[in-house]
Amino acid sequence: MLRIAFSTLASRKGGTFGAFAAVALAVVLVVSCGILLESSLRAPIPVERLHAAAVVVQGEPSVKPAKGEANVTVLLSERRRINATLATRIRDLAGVAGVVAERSVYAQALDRRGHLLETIGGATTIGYGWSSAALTPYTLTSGHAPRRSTEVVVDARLAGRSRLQVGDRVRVLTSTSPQTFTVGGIAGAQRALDPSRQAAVFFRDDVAARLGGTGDRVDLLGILTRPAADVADVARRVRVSLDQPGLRVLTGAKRGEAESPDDALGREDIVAGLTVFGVLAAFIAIFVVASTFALSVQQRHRELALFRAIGSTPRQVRRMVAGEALLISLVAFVVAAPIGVLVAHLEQGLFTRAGMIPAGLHLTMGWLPLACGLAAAIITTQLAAFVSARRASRIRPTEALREATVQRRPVSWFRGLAGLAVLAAGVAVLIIFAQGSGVGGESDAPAATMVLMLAAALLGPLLALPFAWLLGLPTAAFSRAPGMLARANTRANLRRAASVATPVMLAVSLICTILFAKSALQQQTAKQTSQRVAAGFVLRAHDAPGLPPAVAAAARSLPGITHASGSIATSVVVAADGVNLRSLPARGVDATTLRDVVDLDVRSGTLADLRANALAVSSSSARAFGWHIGDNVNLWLGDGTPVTLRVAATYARPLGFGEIVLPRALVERHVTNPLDDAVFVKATPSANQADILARLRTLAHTQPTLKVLTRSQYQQQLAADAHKQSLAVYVLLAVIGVFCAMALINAMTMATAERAREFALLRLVGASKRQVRSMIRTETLIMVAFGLTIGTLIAAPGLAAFNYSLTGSAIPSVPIRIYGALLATYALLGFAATVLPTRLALRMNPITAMAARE
Amino acid sequence: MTIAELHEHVNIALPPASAAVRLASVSKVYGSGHNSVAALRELSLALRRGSFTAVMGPSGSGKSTFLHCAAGLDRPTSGSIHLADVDLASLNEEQLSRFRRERIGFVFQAFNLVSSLTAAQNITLPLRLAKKKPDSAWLAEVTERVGLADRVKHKPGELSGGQQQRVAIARALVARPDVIFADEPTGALDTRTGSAILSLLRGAVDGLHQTVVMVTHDPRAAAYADTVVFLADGQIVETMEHPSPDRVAERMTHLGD
Repeated sequence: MLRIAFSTLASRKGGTFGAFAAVALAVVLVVSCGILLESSLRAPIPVERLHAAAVVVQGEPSVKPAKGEANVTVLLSERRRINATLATRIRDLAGVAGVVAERSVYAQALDRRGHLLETIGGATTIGYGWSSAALTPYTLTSGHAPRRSTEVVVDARLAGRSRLQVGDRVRVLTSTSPQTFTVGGIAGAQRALDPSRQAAVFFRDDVAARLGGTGDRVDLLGILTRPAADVADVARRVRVSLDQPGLRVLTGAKRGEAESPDDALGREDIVAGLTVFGVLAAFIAIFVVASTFALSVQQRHRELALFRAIGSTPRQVRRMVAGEALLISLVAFVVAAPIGVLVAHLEQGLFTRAGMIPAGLHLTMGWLPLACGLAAAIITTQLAAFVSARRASRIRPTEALREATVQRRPVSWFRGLAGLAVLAAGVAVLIIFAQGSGVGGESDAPAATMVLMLAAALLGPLLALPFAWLLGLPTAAFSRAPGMLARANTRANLRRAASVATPVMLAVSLICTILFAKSALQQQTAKQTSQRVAAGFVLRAHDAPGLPPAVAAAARSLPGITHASGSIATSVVVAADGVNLRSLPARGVDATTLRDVVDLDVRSGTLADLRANALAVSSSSARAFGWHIGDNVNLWLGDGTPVTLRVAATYARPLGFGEIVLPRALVERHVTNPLDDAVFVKATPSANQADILARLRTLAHTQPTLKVLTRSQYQQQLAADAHKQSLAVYVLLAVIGVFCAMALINAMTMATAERAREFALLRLVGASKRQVRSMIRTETLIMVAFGLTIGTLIAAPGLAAFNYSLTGSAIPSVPIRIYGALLATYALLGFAATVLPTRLALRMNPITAMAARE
Repeated sequence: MTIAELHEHVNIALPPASAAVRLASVSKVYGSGHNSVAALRELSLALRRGSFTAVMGPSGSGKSTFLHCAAGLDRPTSGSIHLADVDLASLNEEQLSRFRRERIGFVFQAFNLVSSLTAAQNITLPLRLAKKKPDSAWLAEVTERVGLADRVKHKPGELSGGQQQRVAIARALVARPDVIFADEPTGALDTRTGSAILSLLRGAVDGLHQTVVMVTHDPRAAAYADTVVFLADGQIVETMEHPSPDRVAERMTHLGD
């Protein structure tokens, strides 16, 4: 059967090429996405500063759900610190030469002019106890180790760039107030370190502990092993002696995650983003391949009927179609896989520019993405072939000899019922989702869209019917004969119309859903921020993780300033239904000072109760989690500490601030750096704005990382940050959009090219070329309008539900210009795609075309 | 009679004004140089209005090329073709399309109809394309004549092969063309159905004074015509008036000689 499959394929170049092109596109998409995903997953986080510590003990950096069955863990935004006394338990183990309890503390050194010490690539200096120097190791090139509490040892490169010498005085910004130290020594790392990642300032160990303010809780234990010791053995012994939850023992490349927890967190985001991309890619691939295959099998209706007529059993026809599908998928894979590798490099450039993946990511070429591409090619084509062939094998042999096939039901009963069932499921998803929380809803909206898209694909031909009918009416009246023909053709070929419209539907529904959910969120964030911020000025940090609380205190004591309230940005993890964990943006605030500068629009309870073990929660999250005022609820703080807190208040303006608001005192002890993300400042109403700005700027003399923003500048900064984060989404959607556009052109070409005979007949009956082109344009108009409308309708409920959970209004805000551009692009592409095949088909002498085999 | 004399005879026997189709020294050469093939060689022929002509000949004799050129679907390499006294060479592509739509009807062997349109829509399609309103009395007469009055609402897929050819003939008739070109119209039909179709064409000639040119290889079909023109190697080798199936068959067997 494969031989016959091969020769039938060879004889039907147009349709075969169309199917091949669709599979190739799918392979390119899957392979390129897979390569990026695998490379990101495997991208090692370099081990530099902890190079000498063969074994590292670290607090578990993620939260796992209580119930074992859920495998989704959430990475913590803050460092889970561990007890320094654990060191005593492992110090005497065999093979252990030494254990360093390391603290990394916020410490940014300033040069003589009061500027931050110059580092490369925006790396900030980090403070450590001198004992940590052994973990790299750093060795003194001049001077001595910090003996006095006022002495520091500075990284040799840092010292070199800033021309620091032993005996110089340096000011250091700390999480309390700036302090002055003397350079006691200069130390260089024995290995070359990446200058954009590492910049260390060493304090005496007890000074580092004081600056960190975390008591006996340290960031990690670095274990130096004896020269002859087997690292794996040591690690095993360490694990045994530290047998307790919340700890991990790392060796080898994994130590990078302990050295740079932010990179590990970033990688998690990248992988999550690329996974979304992968899911969308696979989804689109399945639809495009299935619809194109359906089209190509349908075009061969008569030929398949002929096979039936000459005695093929339905089973043989099915096997032939399956064999063809296999051949096509194999050839497409061989051709497309190398292109996929190339496209991965292209996408890497785009995603890097959009800030989605780190620059310099090394693309690894594993077998897994290729295997996924091959599997995608074979599975989607076999599925598509199975469905199409089931239909084809039921062709009655007599149909081979008939002039034209009678239009049967546009969809089979089974397909219709399946479509309705999926539609019902989609509605259920929407209802659940409309009741849910606004946060994370951006990712729920596409889920609803994907279910509805499946329903639309199943019911496609049925849905196309009213379009052929309705849209055909005015066009038939407008251009009489071509319009009538177009209308009749579409009604007689609903499956073809549905196949061609599928890529349009996919593109419009997915792009609308994701783009407009994003824009609605941004818009709402901007709106809530402008309503929420009652402060006239906001102090924020640049080139630093935040501002020490002393800044807020200093601002408060300035003349003309009535209120200043700092807040710490962090996140908490909530197990909404006991199993699924969600990380939510949270904020630690001082409720008494916050009240005057930030209006959260409290809906129930009062922020006055936000003390000790209490929290305030956004109304939408409270609704989603089923929390009520007075409830004691369980959650994990940013460093993974489980807490039970009482719900003190609910509020309506969380976007841009936090879904959960906690007492500052509680948060301070559970973040990596207890620094303010923003200090909201209010001046007396009569004060001159310029005066206040000038006064606030004087604070920068002692705290050079300070940036004074007016209320509107703050809003602009938030919007710019949001835009920067959305860039990756735009790029991702652009890739998807291009893919769908190519699928559309492919399907349009296939659908048009097969009609040479039909055009010839029309020409002989007296249609001018112009009339034929006019007919094709009208048919294209109907199909494109169908795709655009259904695509929009698919996106609408998800967007409405998202908008409802976000704002309480179901009417989604749609940037009309972008929407219009999207529609226009696909409409134009649809028209453009028919021009060439129509022209080619019309160029043939009509009589020759009539004589050509169908 | 030599071939040259025959040409003289055919041309002179008919005064130009009464000719529906007139070919003068038409040659059609495909390709160029060594690979060139002459499909028609200096062919001249005039066909009377209201006549039924069958064109016969073995494969490669040029009958298809003749039909294409005569119907203005293909342009000859040299020579002139007049259809209803219009020089086809004087028309550009667009004019030619319009001319075909208004002056020529076609009936093919199979796949004659637009499958998405009903029989009635297929019949009126040429008029609609010409933006003309169908004359309902004439339409009724035509559908009645081809015996389709009760099937006009059906799509081609719901009609038998014979019924489909009837629709095609009705479509050719409805525009009252100067000539109907039929290319093996009974090729795909059984003998009985074929006879009915041929009778319809005959009836159109006799009853409606329609001019019909039919390419066929079936002597029985050719016998329905007034005149049979035999082609070989791109030239007319004989014309036969009042043909009978036996005589045509007999002539065909010796055509290769």
